[in-house]
Amino acid sequence: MESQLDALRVIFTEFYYWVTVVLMFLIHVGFCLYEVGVSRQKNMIHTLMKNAMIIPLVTITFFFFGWWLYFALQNGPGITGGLKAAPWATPWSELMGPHMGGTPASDGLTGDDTAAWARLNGVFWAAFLLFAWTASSVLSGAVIERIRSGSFWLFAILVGSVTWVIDAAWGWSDTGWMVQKLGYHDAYASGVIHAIAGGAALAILAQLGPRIGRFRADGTARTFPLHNQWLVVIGLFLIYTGFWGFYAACNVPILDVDADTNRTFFSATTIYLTPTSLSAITFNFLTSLAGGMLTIYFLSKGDPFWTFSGGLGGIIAGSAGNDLYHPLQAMLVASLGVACAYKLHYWVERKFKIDDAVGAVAVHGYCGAFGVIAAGFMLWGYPSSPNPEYASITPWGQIAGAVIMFGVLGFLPAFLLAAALKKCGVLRIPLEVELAGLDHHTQTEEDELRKELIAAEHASIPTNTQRHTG
Amino acid sequence: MRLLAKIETWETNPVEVGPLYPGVGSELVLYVICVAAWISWTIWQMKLENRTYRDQSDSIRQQGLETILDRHRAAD
Repeated sequence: MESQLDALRVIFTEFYYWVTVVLMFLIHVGFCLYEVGVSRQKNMIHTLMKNAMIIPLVTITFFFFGWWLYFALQNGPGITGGLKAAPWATPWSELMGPHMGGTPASDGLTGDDTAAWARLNGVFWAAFLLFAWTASSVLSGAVIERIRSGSFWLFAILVGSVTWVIDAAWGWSDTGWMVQKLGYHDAYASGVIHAIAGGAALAILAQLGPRIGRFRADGTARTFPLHNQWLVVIGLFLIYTGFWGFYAACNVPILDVDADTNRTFFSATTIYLTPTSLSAITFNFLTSLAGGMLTIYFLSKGDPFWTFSGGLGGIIAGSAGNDLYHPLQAMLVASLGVACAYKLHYWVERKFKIDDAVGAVAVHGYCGAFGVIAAGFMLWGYPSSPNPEYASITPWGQIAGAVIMFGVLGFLPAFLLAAALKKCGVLRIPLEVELAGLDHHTQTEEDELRKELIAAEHASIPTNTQRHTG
Repeated sequence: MRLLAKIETWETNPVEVGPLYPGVGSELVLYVICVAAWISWTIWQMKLENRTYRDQSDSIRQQGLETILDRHRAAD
């Protein structure tokens, strides 16, 4: 970086992604609070640890293979080409550590590539990693109070470090085969994060079964009272806050978008390198949120749990096209999306006895898939990429994309893994432990310690004789 | 200690500086060690969880589920 302008551009980009990562951390804090608030008191600590351990496990596996998969699989492989070389993303690359970018890091990299990746690899990796935590965390809430932690963490790694990364390579990169062939457009990840996570959650729930007592003999569902509604609300507000970072992280902050090489025009772009701005996505983030909350408030007759979830669902339903929608279009798409998801949630619950403790399949899965399909109609005919040879956006390309995200990469792999774990008898906790509560033994031990401490305190009370002589 | 040191002076041309961390060249070995550690941790955790649930189930049966559920009801 010999010129000041180059240095400013690269270091601004580095700083920009770093800020988004810090903001996105709040999504995970929010998920933890939310899940603990929803779970019953007898399961709180287990619920917290099940979610919190996503952080180290998905982090290391995303380092081990997730980041490389994103670049290597953009052609399928076998659809638009073979495996792509990504020497900066192999876990043993010099560029996966502190690097000044001076000497080329490997034979496959030029000096300029090395200089750029030396500055940006860590922050890009971290931004994608935080998306990965989010995808894994979506599963976590749906399955609380009956899944074994070790099995859950295998699902977290499957979705966080493998399947969502594959769908991002295919449909959320500037050269992914889905973008090239289907004109797939999903600017803020309705499908690539949310639909896939919702699909996977549904698959696990189908194998796992409902919590004991969830359904009455006549098949209707009992509502489990929230253990702490304030944790739930604060958790959801933190998820909203983190989503600002998520939206910003989906953009490239500054890039020359002028196709004429003799001119320059700098703009923010989407991940497809098509122009957008922070201003545009700020409009649409907020109107999607508003549309989701207003609609679900109306449908649920003011139910606070659903209203807050509806805000999140609204953002997710608008996300695929929120780079290009008018704010009022974003609001209407969000409203329709959450309405469909809300109705579908109860229909699936009644019909298939699916016990989704936090409505994750509806908020993420159905809203996400809806958002992808809606963008196909709303943006029909728009170019999906600056590359004129790529397919343009169409409803059928987006419908195929929604099926791939929710079904092929979301539902199917998770269903197979859940079936295998169930067959091995390690998917669900034992009946006695579920009834007594996952924290029963911790609480019993704490009671014993408390009794022992009180006894010790009693024993230390000075007698009258000691008081007079002391 | 110069066993792993990569940088010996900062008075150099930055354009010629590459990796900054100690032990350059050992990345693949580190990778194999860390993947093995992760797989071992996963197996250990699964075994621990199996043992814990088995012990807890025995203990709960001894205490009596009715007693435990009554205690929850009282706490609520």
